[in-house]
Amino acid sequence: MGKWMDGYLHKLEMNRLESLTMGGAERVELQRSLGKLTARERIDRLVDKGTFDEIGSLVRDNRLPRDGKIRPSPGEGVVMGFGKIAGRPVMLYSIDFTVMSGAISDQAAWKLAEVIEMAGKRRMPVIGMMDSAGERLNIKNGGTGLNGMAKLIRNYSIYSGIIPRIMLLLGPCTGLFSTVPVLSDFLIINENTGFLWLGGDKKTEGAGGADFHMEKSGQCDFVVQSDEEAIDKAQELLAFLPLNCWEKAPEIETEDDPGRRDETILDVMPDDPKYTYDIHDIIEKIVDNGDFFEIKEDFATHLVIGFARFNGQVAGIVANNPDEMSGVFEINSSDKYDRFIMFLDAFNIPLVNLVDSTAYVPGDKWERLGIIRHGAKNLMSYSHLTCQKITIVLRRAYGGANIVMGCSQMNPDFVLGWPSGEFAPTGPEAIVQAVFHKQLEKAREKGNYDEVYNTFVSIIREHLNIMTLSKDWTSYYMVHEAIDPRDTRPMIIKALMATADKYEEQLDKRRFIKPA
Amino acid sequence: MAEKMKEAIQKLKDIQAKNLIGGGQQHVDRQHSRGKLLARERIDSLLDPGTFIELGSCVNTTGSRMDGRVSDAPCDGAVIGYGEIKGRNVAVYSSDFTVLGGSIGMQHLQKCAEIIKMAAKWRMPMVWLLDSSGGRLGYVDVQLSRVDWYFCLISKYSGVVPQINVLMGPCIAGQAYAPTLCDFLLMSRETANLWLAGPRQAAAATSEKIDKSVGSADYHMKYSGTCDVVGANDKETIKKTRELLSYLPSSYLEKSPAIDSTDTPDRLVDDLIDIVPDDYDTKYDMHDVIKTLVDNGEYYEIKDEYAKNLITCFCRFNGETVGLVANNPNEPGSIVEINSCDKYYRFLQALDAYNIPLVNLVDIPPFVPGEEEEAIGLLRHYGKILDVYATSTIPKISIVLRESYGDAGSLIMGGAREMGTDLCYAWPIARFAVEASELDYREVYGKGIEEDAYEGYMDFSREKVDVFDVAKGYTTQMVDEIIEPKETRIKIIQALQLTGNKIEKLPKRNKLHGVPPV
Repeated sequence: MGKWMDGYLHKLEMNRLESLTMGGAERVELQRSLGKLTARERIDRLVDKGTFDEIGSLVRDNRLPRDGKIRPSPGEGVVMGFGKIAGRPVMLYSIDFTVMSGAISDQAAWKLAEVIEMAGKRRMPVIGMMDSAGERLNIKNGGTGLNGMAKLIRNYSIYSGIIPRIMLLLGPCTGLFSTVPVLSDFLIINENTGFLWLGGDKKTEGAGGADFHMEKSGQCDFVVQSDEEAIDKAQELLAFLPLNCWEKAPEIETEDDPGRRDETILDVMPDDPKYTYDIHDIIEKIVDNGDFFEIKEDFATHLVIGFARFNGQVAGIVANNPDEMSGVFEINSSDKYDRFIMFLDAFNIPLVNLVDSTAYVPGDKWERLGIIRHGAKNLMSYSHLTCQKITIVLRRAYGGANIVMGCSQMNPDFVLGWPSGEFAPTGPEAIVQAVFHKQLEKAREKGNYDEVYNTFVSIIREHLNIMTLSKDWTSYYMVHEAIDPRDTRPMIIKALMATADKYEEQLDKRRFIKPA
Repeated sequence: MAEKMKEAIQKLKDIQAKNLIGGGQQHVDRQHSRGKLLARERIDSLLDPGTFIELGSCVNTTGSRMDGRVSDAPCDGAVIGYGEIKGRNVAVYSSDFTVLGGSIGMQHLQKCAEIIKMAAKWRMPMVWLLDSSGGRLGYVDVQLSRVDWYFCLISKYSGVVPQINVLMGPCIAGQAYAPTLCDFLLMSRETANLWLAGPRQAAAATSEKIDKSVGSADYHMKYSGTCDVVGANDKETIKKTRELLSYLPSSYLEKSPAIDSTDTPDRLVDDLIDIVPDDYDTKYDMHDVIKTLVDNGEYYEIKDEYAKNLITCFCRFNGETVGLVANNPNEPGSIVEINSCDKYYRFLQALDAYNIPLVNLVDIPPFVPGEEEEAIGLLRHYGKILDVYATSTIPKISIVLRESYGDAGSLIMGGAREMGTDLCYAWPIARFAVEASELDYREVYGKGIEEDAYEGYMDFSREKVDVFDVAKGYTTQMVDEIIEPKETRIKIIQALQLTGNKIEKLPKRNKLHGVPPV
């Protein structure tokens, strides 16, 4: 090799070193003092050792700063490329807060737009790590900033449902970019540093933080304490997901016996249907090794969603939680449900619904918020699912909850029921009040109200029980089979096997029109 | 003619004659006294005269009450069939409230299901004229009937053929989902009520006392955002339904019917310069702008009393149907507020489903919603409409009148080509910025944001830039041409003509849908 290459090699090496220094020692020091990893440390931790290959490291800020002060800008604050996680390929990017506070520039926006497109074309997940105080986009003198941001947002949208999109919010994220974490399929926020905000007035402490977006806005899927924990979470999550919509989620060897019956499951549900129980106790007894990966655990807690495995196969679980608000549906749980089932269906992950709910909440307050259109939204989405769908009625399947959770008329693959299951437009207690109000009035006068009331309730309850209703196969209140609760796990596993190769036709159309 | 045949014909005639008074004269009178039309009168006002073809007119109830009583129920309370509206086929279901309160028996349900399926299969719009007390209480036949549920059917055919629901009576509990699943819901102010639970059920469930104002047409228009159009009474609501259908194609495979316009395509609109003040802070009503631009000043507004800072309406340009979405500077608030996003979201989905071009009139106030909205999911609602805009493949045309800011909504109003916008024109006084927000994150967040962040680089995004500075660089891709206000109508018509054959393919998904924010 001639000597002429040496100069170039030196330049290349200088570029590499400059990239490693990021925004300068002082900024890197500050980053660490805030308890944050640097953009590159995050990547190193996320991907398998030595698998990260960077693209776009030559990019620099190419315009005059407003105040004339030149600041270091390796990669224009975006470190991105491809790598492997647990041996599976991903595209990823990490915003460098040490470079101009991580503010997104024109070049940064276009780099990001490109990395999403590459992931989409190569059919692999994209993982973003966000740490950016704002934007420095330009629209003057041919500045391509806003259009770059448009490209980024559109790429996120058009590859939605094609590749999984995961976002780790490890610092601030504001302005137009704040919509991107929400467009992503899963959002993990660091409780100590994460801040997500469009740009309007902020009044209270904690607004925009992880807990705020978990409990109130319903936009955060996982709250974590540190960058390290966020990255662990992302890796754990990824293990449940296929690389793209054309594949199935990876199966693993499980130590748990597929035929395992659980005697203790009988102890969870109280004898009296008036009393509640924690649905987590049931879920943990039926899934492989008791491992349930819960999503949005502090939002709309009356509906529990998450991933688990059955005999090594991934499934999404949706379950009403009677311990919280009696397991009702309202607008937040509707939204939580909707997004999750859209994801499951897009990525061929089976849906297992555990039903014990007293339906949607009525009244002026909820009507104002559009409770009906929220229920309708769930019906619209459920009707378009073509993934494996299994419904298990544990106890109360009342009113709209029964329908949106996949009763027989909504065409799930299986409707199974515990012998305690009951279908009704509304609870037996309310039916008795409505139908037998005269008899109850008389009983009150006679002083044997409780006795009469309880008798009526038990008669009606018997009538609504799945064992009674399923005598008619054509009833919309039917189950394909009643199961011993102790057999729930083996039955789910068998049902998943039986439906593994199912195919459901989709009607041709441009799009469906979902209620808002 | 043979006697047997004569008798049989007479029998048929008798049934059909009896059907005309449904549940009997007493119920007919009561229906009229409530200000409501009869099921068949409604059909007559909906369809072109003499075009109704009925199916299932000999149907009666096949069920009985738990106590053994058998009631007479002509048509089982559901009149179904076909007819024409302005010469185009539509399928119709009309509840007969005079028959057991229009309640849903087994045969009623089957009729309803079949007409939906036929409409979808035969590619014609489905219109519901709904006035029903709901499930037929005390009858067990319905739950045994194994009829396809309309929840599932409406959903399945959503986006296949237009489904319009005209509610002119009560609609409670499970049935309340049907109107909400349809593409458009029209309600009659006098008699419509849509409830998840009516006063009695609500009281039983939560002890809450509600009255009829809850769930009324105006209630669902102003508060819940569930209603699209309010008519004063049956007549007016049905008239508006006919009008709405004239803007829609018969199925997703067609385009909306074009009509011969009596307005000239090359009309200059000199008034615009007076209607829109060149002082950015002075308000005006965007309706005045719309009236001057569209054919003959006619437009059909959707959700006119909901999220009023965003106008959604159908109108025509040179006879071609367009969905128009505009800011209304006369109303407070931001178009990225949750309710405005929801309104836009529904409308744009319908436009894209049925091949109707989108025209945006843009004048975005420099303001973004704050904590109250953030706390209830501002970003996911904003994300929802970003997603639909980005994934819709209809022609998307944008006119910037005065102001346009990225964070305050310009990307959902055609503010940058890469969102999938086809053409963007701007008036000579237009000004732009990436961010309208003036929040200082050094104050509200801190945590290591550089002291000189704004002065040094972040103010790039916040500088208000004049349209000539934006249009100077075509790489900016925000403005295709600066136009004089008076040329606006001409330019829209040209743009529609240019994009008339637009075809755009998006990356293929395995399923029909993605995973949009909710």
